[in-house]
Amino acid sequence: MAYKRRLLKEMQTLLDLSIPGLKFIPTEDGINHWYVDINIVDNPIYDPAHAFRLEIVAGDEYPIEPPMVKFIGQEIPLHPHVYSNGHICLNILGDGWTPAQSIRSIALSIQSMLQGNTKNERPPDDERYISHAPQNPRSSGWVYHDDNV
Amino acid sequence: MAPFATNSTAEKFKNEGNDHFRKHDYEKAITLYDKAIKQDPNQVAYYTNRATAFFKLHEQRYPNLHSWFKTWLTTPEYEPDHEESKAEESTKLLKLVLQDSRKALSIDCKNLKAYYYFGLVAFMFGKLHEAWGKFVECYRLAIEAQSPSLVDVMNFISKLRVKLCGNRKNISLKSEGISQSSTGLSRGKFANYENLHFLLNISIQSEYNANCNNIISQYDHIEDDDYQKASFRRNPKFQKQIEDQAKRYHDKLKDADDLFNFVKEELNGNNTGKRSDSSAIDSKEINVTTSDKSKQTNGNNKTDAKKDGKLKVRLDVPLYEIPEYLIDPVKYGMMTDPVITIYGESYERKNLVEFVAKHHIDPVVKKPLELNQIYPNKSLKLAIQKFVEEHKIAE
Repeated sequence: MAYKRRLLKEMQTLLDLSIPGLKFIPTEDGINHWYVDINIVDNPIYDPAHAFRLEIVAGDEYPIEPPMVKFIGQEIPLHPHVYSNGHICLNILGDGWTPAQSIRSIALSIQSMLQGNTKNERPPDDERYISHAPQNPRSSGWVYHDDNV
Repeated sequence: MAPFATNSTAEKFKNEGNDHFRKHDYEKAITLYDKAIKQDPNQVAYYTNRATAFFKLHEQRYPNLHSWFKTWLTTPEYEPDHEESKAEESTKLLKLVLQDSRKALSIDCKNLKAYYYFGLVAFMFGKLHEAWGKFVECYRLAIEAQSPSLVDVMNFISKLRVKLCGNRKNISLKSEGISQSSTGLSRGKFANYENLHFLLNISIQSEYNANCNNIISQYDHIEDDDYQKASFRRNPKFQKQIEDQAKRYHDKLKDADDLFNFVKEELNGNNTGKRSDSSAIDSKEINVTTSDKSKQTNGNNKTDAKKDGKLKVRLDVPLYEIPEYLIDPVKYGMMTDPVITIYGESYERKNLVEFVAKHHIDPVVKKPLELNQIYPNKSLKLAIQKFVEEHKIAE
């Protein structure tokens, strides 16, 4: 249960830490299950008052393997790397993951990914992807559209 | 066969209806099907066609609701509280679908399409178990008939299964009428689930076979020569793909078993005080694991026992008191066997090896790293030993 100790430590720092626009919410499902509410302030595409909810679930293999991360809720942010079912195409959630990253760094990456977004659209293969997408985005064999995320 | 003989005027209406259906003009199609049914009320196809048209019409009118149901299907946490789902107009349409599929089933109890729409609507009304039953029936018929819609049904069934499985906390077989039933009836239900377990296994098996055949055909296509055909089986890439398939297959089988056992427990378990029971099992499991651990430590040599003593001390030290440089960046515990990589980063040996063996990257530096590029960090080890000893004295 080594991963639990790491999560405990991450939890301590997450709850102490305050990053503008990010709100970490623990769930009753356990220490490995988190919600993160993200507000995007300085991008006209997104309503600054609306918080997008991110779900983060760290599996038993965490931190050797990345956690499962996806957007949930009624509104999924429009972004060329975010599918309408909430799945996110971001290299640090798949091949680019290393254990030196953390839940905090993932949340920050996704926040900055949305903040830097200039295209108000879904990925080009959105319809095709969501029609056969697995429940866990980690089981998708991603082909990264480009690297400048 | 007399009631099944086709009535030519009714057939004409149906065909016209089908034309409108193809043009996505569902309302007109429905009125034409109505006429056909008036002419000949014993034709199953008219009812199923009308049910399909009602369903498509619903989809046309409430596209948001349908896309929302798709997400609901794939995320176990969602609850059916979408506003549109409560709209009267929408439920009315869905009930019409139900009505037509019921009628179709009363005429022909082996109608695949009727079961399919019945299941879909049951799902949309939030009756997952009912939908499950309909889809399993649908699945069996599709296999018998070798119907092309088998794939659709299978997709839906597997998603529904995940949903039922993932929803374990909220799943309540009891509320679906099992609680009121006597033990005899619940045994009957159980037999159904046993059937279903068997069916699921078949579906997983066939999916696995299909996937493997796909992979083989990919390689077959590249290499025409007979000699090479034999050699592609030794291709590591091919072997890996097949292995992956096998792994997925076994995982799925395990999932199916889990679900089955869960249902079994749920049905065999006492209805009252079920919650306290499950918590008791949980605590038992914890006890078992801890006792296993203690067995392991007892079984170790004396030298290890010494290490264990240190380990205890280490665990007792609150995390925030350990200096940053003694903490392993992978699992955030204090290191006991520190190693240093060629890039100068230090890690706990076990954790680093676990990661590098899979990904061949230094976690912090993100540069290529192999297992032979890792060396013990002796000075850090001394620092750790000193820290541990100091704390022992302090306490």
